[in-house]
Amino acid sequence: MLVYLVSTAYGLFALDENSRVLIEMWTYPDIEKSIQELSQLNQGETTDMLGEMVNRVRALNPEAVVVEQPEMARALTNTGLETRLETVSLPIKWFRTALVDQLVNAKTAGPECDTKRFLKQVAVGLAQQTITRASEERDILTKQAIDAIDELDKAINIIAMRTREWFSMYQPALDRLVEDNEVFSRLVTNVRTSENVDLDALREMGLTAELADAVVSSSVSGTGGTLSEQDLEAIRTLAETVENMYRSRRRLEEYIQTMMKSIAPNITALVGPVVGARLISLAGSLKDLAARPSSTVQVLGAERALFRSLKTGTDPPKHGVIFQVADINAAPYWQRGRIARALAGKLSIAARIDAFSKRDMGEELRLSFQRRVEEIRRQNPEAPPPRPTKRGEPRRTYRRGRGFGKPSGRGGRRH
Amino acid sequence: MRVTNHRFPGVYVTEEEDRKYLATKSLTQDIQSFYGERVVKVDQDVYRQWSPRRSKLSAAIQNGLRELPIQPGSRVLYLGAASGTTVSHVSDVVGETGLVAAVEFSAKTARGLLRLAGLRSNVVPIVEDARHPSRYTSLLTGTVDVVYQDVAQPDQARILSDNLRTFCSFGSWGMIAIKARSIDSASDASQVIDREITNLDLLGLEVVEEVNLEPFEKDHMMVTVRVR
Repeated sequence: MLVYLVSTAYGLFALDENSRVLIEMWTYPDIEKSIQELSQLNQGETTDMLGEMVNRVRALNPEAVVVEQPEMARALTNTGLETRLETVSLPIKWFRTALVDQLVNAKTAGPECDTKRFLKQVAVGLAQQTITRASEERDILTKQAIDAIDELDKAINIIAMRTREWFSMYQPALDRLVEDNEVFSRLVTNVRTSENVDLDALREMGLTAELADAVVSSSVSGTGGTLSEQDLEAIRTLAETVENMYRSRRRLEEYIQTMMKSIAPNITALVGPVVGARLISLAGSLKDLAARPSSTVQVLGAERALFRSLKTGTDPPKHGVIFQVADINAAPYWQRGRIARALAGKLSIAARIDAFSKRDMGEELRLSFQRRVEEIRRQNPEAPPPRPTKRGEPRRTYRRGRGFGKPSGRGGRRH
Repeated sequence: MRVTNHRFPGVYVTEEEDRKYLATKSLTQDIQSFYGERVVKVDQDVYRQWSPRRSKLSAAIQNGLRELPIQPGSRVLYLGAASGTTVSHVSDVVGETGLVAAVEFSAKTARGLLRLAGLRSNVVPIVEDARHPSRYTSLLTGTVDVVYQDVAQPDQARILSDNLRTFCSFGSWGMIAIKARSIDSASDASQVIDREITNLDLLGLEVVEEVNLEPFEKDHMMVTVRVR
């Protein structure tokens, strides 16, 4: 005979093919116990209760045990019972939808709302557990950090522009001379009046000698207006904000670096912590990234271009955020697509190792990617001829063949 | 402010200055809004306005849905509950004797759902993947009258039919908000929707009616089906 095993919030039941209960093991009315049983079973683990159930089922000497859940089937693998998985098994379904509630109500002889409340509390407990576990996921924390960095960058840009414009009322030359926002802000916070600008102080702020000279001479002969200490104080407030934001940004980057090294060492070895974190953020989580095909990884972050190409038939994007990796953005444009494809392939492998096995293959992946980049450089030293621009003509495709170009000394990365 | 019954039991229409809004009678009788919806008190009852811009089910009703299987007393399995916006109204409609088992896969959005479950006795929150109904069979005993499906996924139709097979029998209802863009982002929306409706038919479901959700949602169709 066949025995059907059902797990419900109320407990475990073994049935015959007419849904008659052969063995009942209750968790009801113990909410905590029910939550624990279900969460363990949902992860495919064996529980004491299931173990005991198996022993009692064995005594019935069944031909096979039928279950609905793959997780339950997994938990029964080493019990010596033959297990069959039926995603929807009629005797079990009949029991679930019609009989179990009657059974529980008969057991309590209480009002129905009692069992309803029990079921709900178990569901709430399980949901809370899942949500709590999810908010402790370290890759999601990293996602928050990288998103914060991107938002900081936007904010820094806006406020630094304002600082520049405002300070130009006082010393217009500085805006042109100092390109770096952080250095500019540092200058603004430290300049008291034009008299105190001296070379050494500027050198300490990280300016080159040349630049420092230029700043000094411009501060002497400016077309700017004279501003009072009070006016300058107001501008300084803003400049300090920019400096602070840069500091925060650096701290967040350090945080991302340590996090990425621990959660995704292989991705980090390939593309560095920041691009890696961006990829995880775009995919949603490390597991989501691992589940994507590498062609998707290649264009993550270029969704607009991708959908435009799907809709209107323009060329698809060659790269998404992985463009930020030097191997791609420093390469000549006609090699970028191939390099991006190669990198995306290695990234997919890395993401899968990081998500599921934790081995450290970063170095190997990096080396084999580098070898492939060398090969691409060797095979495509020259820019291809421009494509025919007439519409409707077939696109030229470049066959990937073995080129016989000698590896030349040129074509390396420029630093 | 006047309140009249809509022809669907459990759904109301509030009128102010010749503008009409769909609404449901709040189960909690609480004058706090749940997600920022307008709450109005008329006599002894509290009504929550149900905006078609925030909820696809409301949009379908607004656009002339002929039959609403979700009624007072219904036991509903709601897939793709998100933070519980529409679920809160469904919970109002089915009332104390009904039940809404609300499934949402994303833990982040399910927080709102958990808050809703804390406020209402007839909402059972389930944080699981609607693709695998067997993972929540233990939490949903008894019959299910309607499966409402708003999971924007390429295999939408299959997710609905799997859940109907797991929990329902002959004559149960399904409602599905088909989003053309998440099935195929490149081809023509109406073709994609037609193909998906054919799919529902092939999966052994009888297509009862279709309501386009324009102008509230772009390229969406609300389809009601029955288990043959």
